[in-house]
This record gives sequence, structure tokens and C-alpha cells, in this order.
Amino acid sequence: MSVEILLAICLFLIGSCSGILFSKKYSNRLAFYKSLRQFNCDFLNELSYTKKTIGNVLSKKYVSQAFNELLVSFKLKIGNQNASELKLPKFCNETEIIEINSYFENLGGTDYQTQRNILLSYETNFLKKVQDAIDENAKYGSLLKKTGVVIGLIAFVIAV
Amino acid sequence: MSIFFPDGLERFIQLNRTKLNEIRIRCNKPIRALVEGKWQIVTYKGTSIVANKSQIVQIVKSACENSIYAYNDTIKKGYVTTMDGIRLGICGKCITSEGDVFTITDFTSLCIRFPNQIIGCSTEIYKLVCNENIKNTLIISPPGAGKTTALRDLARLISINTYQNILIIDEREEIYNESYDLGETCDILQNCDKKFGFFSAIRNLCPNVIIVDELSNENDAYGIEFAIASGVKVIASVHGNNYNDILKKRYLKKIVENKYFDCIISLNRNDDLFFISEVIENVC
Repeated sequence: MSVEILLAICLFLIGSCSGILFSKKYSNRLAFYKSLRQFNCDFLNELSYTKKTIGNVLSKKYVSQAFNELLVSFKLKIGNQNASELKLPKFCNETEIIEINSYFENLGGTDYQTQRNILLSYETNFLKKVQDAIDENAKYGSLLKKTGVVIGLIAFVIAV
Repeated sequence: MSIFFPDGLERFIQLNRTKLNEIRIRCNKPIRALVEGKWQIVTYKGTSIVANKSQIVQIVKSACENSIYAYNDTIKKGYVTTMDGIRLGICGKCITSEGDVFTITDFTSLCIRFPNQIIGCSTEIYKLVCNENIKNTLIISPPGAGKTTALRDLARLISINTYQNILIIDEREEIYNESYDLGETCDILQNCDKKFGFFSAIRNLCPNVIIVDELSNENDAYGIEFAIASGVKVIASVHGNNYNDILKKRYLKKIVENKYFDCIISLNRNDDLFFISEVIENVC
């Protein structure tokens, strides 16, 4: 195999991988919001029957690594007044950061009925976030992947 | 998750855990501790420890495992009992709804009671209560004198010596936690009111003996009547100094005068443990 073909294959792979890498932001964002919504549902379920404490809900693991890290930082925060802020993923914008911080600040601080109402009010919001993330992932995520493959192909053709 | 305590207080608790009975935390006032029956101001590096309002709130939140919703049923009754059996009496602003206390917020002071299991401390009481048959017994003592500690050890002694089925109605989750040895024949009903304990559990759990702490109202007295009339032996405790004190409580006077109890024992406290100050048998 000639050097040109090897170089062309490498360029193709780099282009495709870059596309996948750039689209990761959208798939991670989708996984994050799906996990956040799942957490909210789990909390509602635990609350409704056994009134289990937050600790029990926090011990669960979710699909999104970023969300699991957020839960770890929340656990640290409630165990220690001086602990640092919540660890939020970089893809969250300022409004989302405020919303998520507010959501976690509202956990555990009220009686059963108020807590349930709070979780139910967030449910609609999170459902919308998941739907937006699905749309963005379908729109921009797959676009970036395709663009990466096309750029890779163009590079391949030029190199050959 | 453990309870948050201000700097120095946690260390003090760890050092004195087995001797510690009670801690009083009042907003911006020196924290006081009852150690082996003697009050002292808790100090750290030579100065007294003072808790501010936000620290008191943090103590309560951490005792609730940061889940107020899970503990609000007891918060509105004025206390929180942790997994370790530590009871926080809460003082603050009561929020009412239609005349009932809905919750307590803006906590300003706390009375933290540390339970201890003292193996063998009720041997003398056991000899009075379990002479041939188990007697229906009322134990009287002022707050903090050791009623609950006495009941805990009495349950253990009855269990290991008689193997009777014992139902402990532990409304405030103070008598039992997993670290205590109460023998093999105790059933523990926790966090339920005494009414449920007396009227439902007698049918469902078929106890020979019921042990119940802190009788405090007509319903409790009615439950005692129901249990004793159902053939179940009852050992109960109540706040007071002596027999004359309980006759002043209308809800108890009737059942005492109607001879529901075979034995009435008054306890008082000396430096480190309670002692029996009065025994009335064959009450009449």
C-alpha cells in the first residue's frame, strides 16, 4: 500500500472522528438531561411511598457520567457547608446553571407535600429539556458527524 | 451521613460519648452539656463554644439527613430522632395550619439527648417486676432520670430470662436502635403512635408483654386499659417525681385508682445513674 493511500485513510479517519467528537457535546447533553429527568422521577417515586431520604436516591447511578459527577458534588455539598459549588458540565449555559442549582437547592428542605409539588413542577421543565436535547442531537449532532465524514472523504480524495 | 456539629463540639462528643447524657444548644449562647449528671459549658481551645442560627439549622438538617420531608411528621411534634437513636428536641417558630402545627422552622434551640445502653442497670427493677409473674408496672421518673434506659434494660432482662414475647412501642425511636441488644424475643414497633401500637399490634403481634415509654394523654391511658383487659402485661413509664404526682394527672388517676397497675416504681437520678426512690406494690 502506498504512502498516499495510508495518508488518505488517516485523513478520512481524522475527519470522521472529529465529527463524532464534536457531536459528543450533543449526545452528552441528551444523556445528562435524560438522567436528570430520571433522577427527578426516582425521587418522586421514593418520596411518594417510603419517604426515603435523599441519601438513598443519591446512591443510584445514572447513564450520564456528567450527571453522576454532579450528584457526587451535591452529596459533598449537603454533607459539608463549606464544600465547593455543584459540578456542572460545560455544555450548560448560564440559564441552565441557575435552573439546576435552584433545583438542587430545593431538594430536601421542605415538608412532603411541598417537596412533591416542587418535583412535579420541575418534571415538565425537564421533559422539555430532554425533548430539546433530542432535537438538537438529531439536528446538530448528526450534522456534525456527517460533516466530519464528508471532510474526511474530501481529504481522502485530495490525498489520493 | 452524620450530624453536623460546630467546631470543637464534635470532638467533645467523641471524647465523652459514653458519659454524655444531653447537650443544650441555644442560639448565640454557650453550649452546655450534661456529663455523668453534671452540667458544664463546652469549651474548645479555652473558649466556650457558641452556635449561631445557621449552625442550628444545619444541625437539624443534617440530623434529618437533609430530607426534612422524611422527618416532618416528628418535626411538627417537636423532635427528630436520628438513626443512632440520638433525639433532638427542637425549639423554633411553629407554623400552624387550621389550628394544628404544620411544621417548625427558624430553629433557635436544641436539646440533644444521647441514649446509652447500660447492661444490668434494671436488675433491681426486674426483681420487683418479675417476681414469679410479670406485673403490670408503671415507672415514674422526672425527665432525664433514666426511664428509657431502665425500660431498655428491663426489656432485655425479661427477654433473656423469660422468653416472653415482648412488644416495644417505641413511638419516638428512643428505646431501640440496631446497636442495642434487647434479647431474642422483642418486637419493636417504631415511629407509630401508641394508639396504633395498642389496638392494632395486640391483635397482629400477640405479645405477652408490652413495654411503652412516656404515657402522656387520655388515648395512652385508654390503650393501657385495653391491653391489660386483653390479658397482656404492660410496663409503662411516665414523667413525674412520685406516686402523688401521677394522681394529679387526670388521664392516669383513673387507671391507677382502678388498680390496673400491680406495681408502681419511682426513679430518681443521682450523679451517674437512676435509683429506685419509691415502690408501691398491690396498688390500692
